[in-house]
Amino acid sequence: MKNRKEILGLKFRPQNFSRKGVGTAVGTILIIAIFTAFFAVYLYMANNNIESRTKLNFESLSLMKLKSTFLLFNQSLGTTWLISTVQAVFITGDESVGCGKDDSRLSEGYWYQRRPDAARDGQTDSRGNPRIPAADKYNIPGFNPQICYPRDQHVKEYILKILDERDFLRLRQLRPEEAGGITIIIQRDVNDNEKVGATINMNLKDDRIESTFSQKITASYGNGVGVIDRQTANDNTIFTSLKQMAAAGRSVVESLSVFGDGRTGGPGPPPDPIGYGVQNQPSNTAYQSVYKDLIESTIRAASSPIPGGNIAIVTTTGLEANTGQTAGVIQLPRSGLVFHFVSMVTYSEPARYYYHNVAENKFEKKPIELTYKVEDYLPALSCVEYQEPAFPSGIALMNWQSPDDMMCCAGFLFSCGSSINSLPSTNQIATGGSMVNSGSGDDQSTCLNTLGGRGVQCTAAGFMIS
Amino acid sequence: MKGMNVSDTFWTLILAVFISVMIILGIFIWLQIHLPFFSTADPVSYSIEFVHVVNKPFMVTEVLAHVRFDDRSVLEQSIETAVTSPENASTTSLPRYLSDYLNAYDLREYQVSIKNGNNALMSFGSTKAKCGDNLDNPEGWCVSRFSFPSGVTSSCGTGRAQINPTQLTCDVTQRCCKEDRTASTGNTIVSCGPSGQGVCSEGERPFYSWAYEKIWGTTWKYTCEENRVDLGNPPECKAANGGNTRACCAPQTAENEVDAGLAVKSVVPLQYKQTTATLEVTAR
Repeated sequence: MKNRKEILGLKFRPQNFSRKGVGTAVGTILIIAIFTAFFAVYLYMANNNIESRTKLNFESLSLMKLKSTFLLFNQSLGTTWLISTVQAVFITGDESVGCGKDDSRLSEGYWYQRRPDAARDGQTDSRGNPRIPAADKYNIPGFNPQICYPRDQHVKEYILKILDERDFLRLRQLRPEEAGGITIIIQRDVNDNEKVGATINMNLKDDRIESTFSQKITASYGNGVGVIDRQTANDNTIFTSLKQMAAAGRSVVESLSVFGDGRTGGPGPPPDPIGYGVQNQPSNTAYQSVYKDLIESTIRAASSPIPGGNIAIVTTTGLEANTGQTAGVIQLPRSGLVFHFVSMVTYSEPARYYYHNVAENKFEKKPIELTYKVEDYLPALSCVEYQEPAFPSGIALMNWQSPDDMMCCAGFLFSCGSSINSLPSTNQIATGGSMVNSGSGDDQSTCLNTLGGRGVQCTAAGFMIS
Repeated sequence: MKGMNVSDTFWTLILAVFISVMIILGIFIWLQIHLPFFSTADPVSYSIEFVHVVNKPFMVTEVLAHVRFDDRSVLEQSIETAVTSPENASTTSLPRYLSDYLNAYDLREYQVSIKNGNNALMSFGSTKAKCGDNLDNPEGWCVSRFSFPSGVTSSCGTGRAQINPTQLTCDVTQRCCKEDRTASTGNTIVSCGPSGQGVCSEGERPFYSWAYEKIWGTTWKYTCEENRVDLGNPPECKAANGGNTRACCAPQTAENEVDAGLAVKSVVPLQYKQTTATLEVTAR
């Protein structure tokens, strides 16, 4: 039986080494050495691999951080443009597409405004200029009525103007610590270094506004070791029927301009319902109410179908005697009544977006609205129109506050026991009083002269002609 | 054995060497992983974990950037919050929505903040390991009463105090520990760390560490108690409390984890007019 050393091949003989035993021992040592060398090489390579992977990972960290920060910032910027565009759309609607704001020929917010001191122009003025502008936002200065007629192009231009002029593009350059150590630079506007040099494309559609903001962004880290330099584009869609609202507003302007044409304030029947209305209403209040309904129904009809689903009309009316200031409506002072109305029309749609209320520094959900105003002066009653034979001596009794307390006589307007705005006191006869013929050619004398010696008394029941 | 020839001997040798090498290799790897003089971190697991850790906050932010809560995207709500405030931007429910959303993911920890400079307008994080009575921002961390291989832990550690919340509680094997530098643990509070954010604490070490120190003559690395950020064993802690509080431990906040290189923070700039703020996400 072989001993332990023999089994291992290490046949050790103290006195004499056999050649075979030495060879086996050397072989064994060599094998161990080779295994050890392999193991060392493995460990070395493994460690090297780990080190290089770690180094690669550090590079990856910076690159991933750069890439991710760039993409996330671009997405954040897209959201910035969305919020900004929403605000610009809100402002555009609230500011009536800038009508009267970017030009002083109309008062602010008005799309249709008549000056009462000048004659009304028809479809064209004396120089052939059209009432409804062919392509411009406004009809020519001096046209009466003055009209703002914002087409789609003007709506788009105003939204872009708001974005440009109300600080929406004035985004501050970022400091590296505001981007996790990444340096981000957005290219600036060539004319204004404070603004982002973004190219904005906008498309108005019936139910939405599509916009694309394009800008160059550079992101870098480590003194330009890693750089991303790209032209990015952010597409946004705002669901609003602003385009349809503007179209409805233009339609209202056209309807009201036609509505005011050819009015004389003479007696009815229609097609001059204004004068006819005064004659037949129990009071001036009732007349204004009827007329207000007429105006509003005209606006609603012109707006139909109501864009966005809702329309609110706030109309204020006035009825007063004509003066020199309203000579463009009824030429001869004290000869009639001028009806004046201002309607504020607001189209609105369901609330989808948040409006930045700057005064209160709040974002509040509210509907996108388009608001505009229309104003006109119309002849409600022109006594000059009440002539014989229908009205002998030009006398027509009407109701101001009570039956027969207002009268046209010889082309002039008189009141009995009631006060008509802007009517001189000489034309307002107190209850129990009578007209006096002074022979000086005043309105009372002219009336009495026309009556040929008959008198006019103001009683509790109104004017009585003796 | 009688019939064994030269070839048998050779293969016996091969087997013996192979087994020896395997044993040496196993010991070497074990040493490399566990003993501090080889490496303080496991390079292999570190390498794998690294990409994961770096990517996670950016992935979470990317997901959040595409999510809509109520009627606005998270980025919209974030920008509007940065411009005004959570109340004025009607975004006070955003933390709850986001927490519910992120809790569905298997995130160990996360912290989401909207900051305007150093002013945190909104901040919320994972409540997975948290406890306390403030449900919006629980003040404590759940810490196991038993930890391997150190054995049963007797306290929350220096600079922390045990609390007994009634709202958000830990399970029976854990205690709720709140960072509190005024808490009395018998040790002097010694600040440590690059900006003094840590406290020298007893930390944890395995039961055989004393034998290791005896044999090798070098000190064992103390690690922090559970749910604290380990800032190493700086000199100021080795000298503190007679060498009994060698571990420098900081509260487990996102900032401390980022500072310690344990987590990466994704920072997204938020801009609107002249306002610039950041949406910061830390996730592990």
